Amino acid sequence: MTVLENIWPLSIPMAAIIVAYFLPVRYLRILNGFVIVCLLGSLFLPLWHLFHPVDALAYWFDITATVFGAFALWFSGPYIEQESIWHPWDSRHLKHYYVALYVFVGSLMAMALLANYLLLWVALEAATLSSVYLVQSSRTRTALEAAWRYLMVTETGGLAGLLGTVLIVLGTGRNLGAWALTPPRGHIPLDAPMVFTGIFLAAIGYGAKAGLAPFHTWLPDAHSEAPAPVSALLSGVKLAGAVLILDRLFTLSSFAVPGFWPHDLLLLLGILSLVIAASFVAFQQDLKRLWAYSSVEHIGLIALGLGFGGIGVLGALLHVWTHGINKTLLFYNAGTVRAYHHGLSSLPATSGLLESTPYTGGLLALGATSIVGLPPFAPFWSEWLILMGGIASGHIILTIAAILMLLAIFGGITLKMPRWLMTPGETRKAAIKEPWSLILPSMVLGVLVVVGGLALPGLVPHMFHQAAAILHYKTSS
Amino acid sequence: MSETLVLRVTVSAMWVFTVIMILVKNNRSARILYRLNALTQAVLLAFLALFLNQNGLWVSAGLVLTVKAFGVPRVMRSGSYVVERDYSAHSPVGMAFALIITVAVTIFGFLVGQQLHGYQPVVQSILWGTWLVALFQMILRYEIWSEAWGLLNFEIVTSSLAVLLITTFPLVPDILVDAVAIGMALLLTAYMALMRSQYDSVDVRKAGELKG
Repeated sequence: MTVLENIWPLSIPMAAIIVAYFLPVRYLRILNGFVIVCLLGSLFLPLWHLFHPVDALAYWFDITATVFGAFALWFSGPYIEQESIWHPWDSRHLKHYYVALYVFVGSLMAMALLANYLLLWVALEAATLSSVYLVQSSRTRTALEAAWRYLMVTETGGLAGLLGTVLIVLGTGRNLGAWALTPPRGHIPLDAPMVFTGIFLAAIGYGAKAGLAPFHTWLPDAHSEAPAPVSALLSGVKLAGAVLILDRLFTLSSFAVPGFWPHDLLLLLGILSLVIAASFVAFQQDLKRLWAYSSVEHIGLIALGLGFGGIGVLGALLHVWTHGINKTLLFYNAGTVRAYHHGLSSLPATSGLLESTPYTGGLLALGATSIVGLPPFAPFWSEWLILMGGIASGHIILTIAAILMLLAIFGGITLKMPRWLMTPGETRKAAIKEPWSLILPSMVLGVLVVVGGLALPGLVPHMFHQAAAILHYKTSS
Repeated sequence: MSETLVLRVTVSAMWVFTVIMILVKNNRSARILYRLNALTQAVLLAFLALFLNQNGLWVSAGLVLTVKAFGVPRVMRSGSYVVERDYSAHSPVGMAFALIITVAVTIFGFLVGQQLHGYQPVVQSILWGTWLVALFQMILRYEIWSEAWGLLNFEIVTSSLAVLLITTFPLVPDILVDAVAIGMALLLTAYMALMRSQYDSVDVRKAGELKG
C-alpha cells in the first residue's frame, strides 16, 4: 500500500484551493457544489479499494471531517451572501474567505489521513492558521480581538506541542520520518524522562488546540465571532481532532511510562473542562457563546471517555460524531438568528424565535434538546457509554462528579433556551422570513440529529470498534 | 575551539538575544533581535551539519537563513511600519523583576535539560532555559508588536530545540515548519496593521481582554 493511497482525497481540497484562487468570484458557488460532490464521493472509495485510510480511526475521523467540511461549504454560500450584506465584502475578500475555508477543510482531513506525527502537527497548525484568518473575516473589533487571542494562545501551545511530539516519538524509539502511527513491535529502547516531559508538553500544546480547560480561554471568543460555518467546523471537528492526536500520542507513550499517567492527565483536563463549562454556561447572553461553552463541556467529555479507556473510548468516538452533528446544527441556526435579528452584535434581547422564525427556532429547540443529552437522541447514548466507561474502570467518584457537572450544564441550557425560543407575556413577534437556502442545510442536519447519530456506527460497526481498539492503552507496569 | 564550546557559545548567544528581546522598547529593535536569533539558528544548524555529518541540516540552515533571517522580517515590516515609531507602554512589571524571573526560569530549564539524555546535554539545557525565557515573554508583554515578535522568536527557539533533540530533521516536516513560521508572520502582519487602524494604540490591553 503506498502513501498516496492513504491520502489522495486530500488532492480534492488542494485542487479547490488553486482553482478558487484563479476562478472569478461568481463561479465560486458552482465550484463549491462540485467540491462537495467530490468530497462526499471520496468517502465511498474504500468500498472499491481505491482509497485505503491508514487505519480505522483515520477513516472514522476522515468521515467526520469530510461530512462536516461539505456542510460548511454548502452553508457558506447563503450565509456569506447574507454576511456580505452587513459588511461590504468585496470580491477579493470573498475569494480569500473561500480559499481559507478550503485550506481549513483540507487540513482537517489531513489531521485524519496523515500517518506521521510531525505531519499531523503541521496539519493541525494549518487548521489553526487558516481558522484564525476565518475568525476575523468580519473585520470588526471584537472579531479582531478574538482572532488575536486565538492566535497567541493556540500558537504558543502549538509550539509546546511540537516539542512534546518530538520528545514522545524519540523517547519511544520511533523514527520521526516513519509513515505509521502505531507503536513499533518487538523490543524498543525507551527513554522514560523524555517521554514524561513530552507527555506534559503535548498535553499543554494539543490541550490548547482542543480548547480543554485551563487552555480554553480563546475558545468562547473565537467560536462566537467566527462566521457560523467556521464556528461549527471548529467546534465539531477541529477540537475533537486535536484530542484524538493527543490520545494517539498518549497511546504511543503508554509503552514507556506507567499507563495510568497519560490516562490521568486526560481525566484531569476533561473534568476541569466540565467544571469550567458548568460554571459559565448559565451566564451567557449570546447564543453562539452559549454553544461555545457547551463545546468546552463536550470536548471535556470526549477527553474523559478516552481517559477512562475500555467502553469509554467507544463512547468518546461516538461522541465525536454525535456532538459534531448537533453542534453544526446549533451553530448554523445561531448564525441565522444573528443574521436576522441583531446583525453581528450580541443577542441578549432576542426572544420568541419559535414564533418569529419557526424553522430556525424549531431546529434550535431540536438541537438543544439533543445536545443536553436527553434520550432517545444519540448524544445521550454516547454520554452514557462514556459514563459507563468511568464506572467500569473504577473511577466512581470522578464519574459522579462528571454527572453532577452535566446536570448543572443541563440546568444552565434549559434555563437559557426558553428565553430565546418563547415570547414573554402577550407581546407578539413579527414574522421574519429566512431564505430556504439557509434553512435547507439545517433541515438535513435536523434529520441527521434524529436518525444519523446512531445510524453511522450502526452501518459500519466493525470500523467503529476497530477505531476504538487503536486507542486502547497498554501499560509497561 | 572544540565542538562542545562552539555549540555552547552559539546557544548562549540565542539565550542572550532572547533575554534582550524582553527588554527592548520598540518594534525596530525587536526585528533586529529576531533577525540575529534567526542567524544564530542558521549557524547552529550549520555547526550540527558539520559535526554530525548530517548533510540534510545544511538545507535546513539555508532554509532558516532564507525564510527567517530575510523572509519573515521583510513580511513583518510591510505590516508593522505603523508601529515603527511606537514605544512600549508602561508596564507594572519592572525590568529588574523581569530579569529575576528570567534567571529563575533559566535555572529551571537547566534542570529540565539535565533530566533528558542525548546529544550535548549542557547545550540542550541552555536551549531549554532559552525556551522558557521565550515562553515567559509571551506572558509578560502586552504591546501588539512585542507579542508578535515574541511568538516568532518562540518559534525559532522551539525549532532549534527540536532539531537539537533529533540532531536531524526530516526534510518535508522541516520545510513545512518553516512554512508555518511564514504563515504566522503573514497573519501577525495583517493583525498589527488592522489592530493599529482599529485602536490607534500599541497596547492591546486597551482593546479589552486579549490575553488568555
